[in-house]
Amino acid sequence: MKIDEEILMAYADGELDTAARTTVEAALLEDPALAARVAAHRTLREQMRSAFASELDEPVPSQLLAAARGEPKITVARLDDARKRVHADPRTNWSWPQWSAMAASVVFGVVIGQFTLRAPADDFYSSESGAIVAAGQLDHALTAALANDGSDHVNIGISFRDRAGVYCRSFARLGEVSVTGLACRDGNTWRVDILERGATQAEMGPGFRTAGSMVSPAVAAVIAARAEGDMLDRDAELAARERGWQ
Amino acid sequence: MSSPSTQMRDEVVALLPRLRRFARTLTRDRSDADDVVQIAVERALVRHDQWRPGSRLDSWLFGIVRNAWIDEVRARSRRSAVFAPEEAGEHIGNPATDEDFDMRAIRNALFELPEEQRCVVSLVLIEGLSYQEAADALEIPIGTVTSRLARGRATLQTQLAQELAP
Repeated sequence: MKIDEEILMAYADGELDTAARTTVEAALLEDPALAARVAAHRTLREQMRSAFASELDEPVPSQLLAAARGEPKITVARLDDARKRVHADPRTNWSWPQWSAMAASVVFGVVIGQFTLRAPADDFYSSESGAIVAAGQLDHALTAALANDGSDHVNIGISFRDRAGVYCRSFARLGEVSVTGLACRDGNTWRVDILERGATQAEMGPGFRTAGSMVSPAVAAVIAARAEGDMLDRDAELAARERGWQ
Repeated sequence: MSSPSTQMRDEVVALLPRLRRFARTLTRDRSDADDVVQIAVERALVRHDQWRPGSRLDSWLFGIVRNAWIDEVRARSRRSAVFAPEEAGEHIGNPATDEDFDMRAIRNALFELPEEQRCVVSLVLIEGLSYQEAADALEIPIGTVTSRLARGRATLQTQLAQELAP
């Protein structure tokens, strides 16, 4: 048997049958250069595995989990669809002032919960002259993350500009209690206009993970009412991020 | 039409990180990779009865991922035809150490291989498929797997010999 590179490679990969393996091993004992080639093949395998190990630790986007589990697709894929749904369903076709009042009560409940139940640990929101402003990890995600990029804590769902040209982004905070919301750029901060508490893990039952890019019907309705034009695609998000969302 | 078993769905969920990794090496773009995996998972669950029990589910899914890339996503890929190497810190934290530098050089060397070789190298060296499993997944003869793997490896070794810290 001629010991060529493909044979050495197959030997290093454990692909040879016993007879061929024996032949190669006899040759390796006699020729250190061949042994070095085998070692190089094994080294390359190790290098490849370790260079691509980090991918396995990344959180899997919720859409993919939903697809694998056969769950319904994420509520809002495109703003046009959201608009159609909103207009088709009179219950959600509220004007913004009504929404604002409702949203305020939702915000109240959530924020009280956050600040009283887990105040010191929570650094997602701060309160500035009556408004809720994104802080900490939420502020960071809103400023730096692209939509549906997969994050441990906060997922950005949809980015768009409102009628005044202000950038707004929907977000979902994953955890024991899911929270979805909408934040709009206000100077150098993100003003949180809506916060909606979702179901808890316990309420959803075991094995169910909150859809990270989930936009609740309530948030979708507000987006549909406020958005001017389409949602930002990845390039538009990159450009907006470059300009500091101004 | 029957629906896939819960057990199969659970196994697909467990394989998602590896499917994403394989798709990443194929597409060289995070968003494209997730599009490809999404399409592949949907296809696989529709055609779940085409999987032969007893064979490796991962090999079968890798093949579907690769076909989804070729049929549906490659033509509208976000990544331009000319590959732009990953920047420092894109996947590996800063500050860059020698080891981070090496990891990036290894990743970029794989990304620069021709697609056919990259695909085989990824399945065999990264995902750990045997030559026969890779041949089945890609529906090509085992000899083709061997020759693509040998060529890919030779290029990688030459490339990395120049770039890696001694």
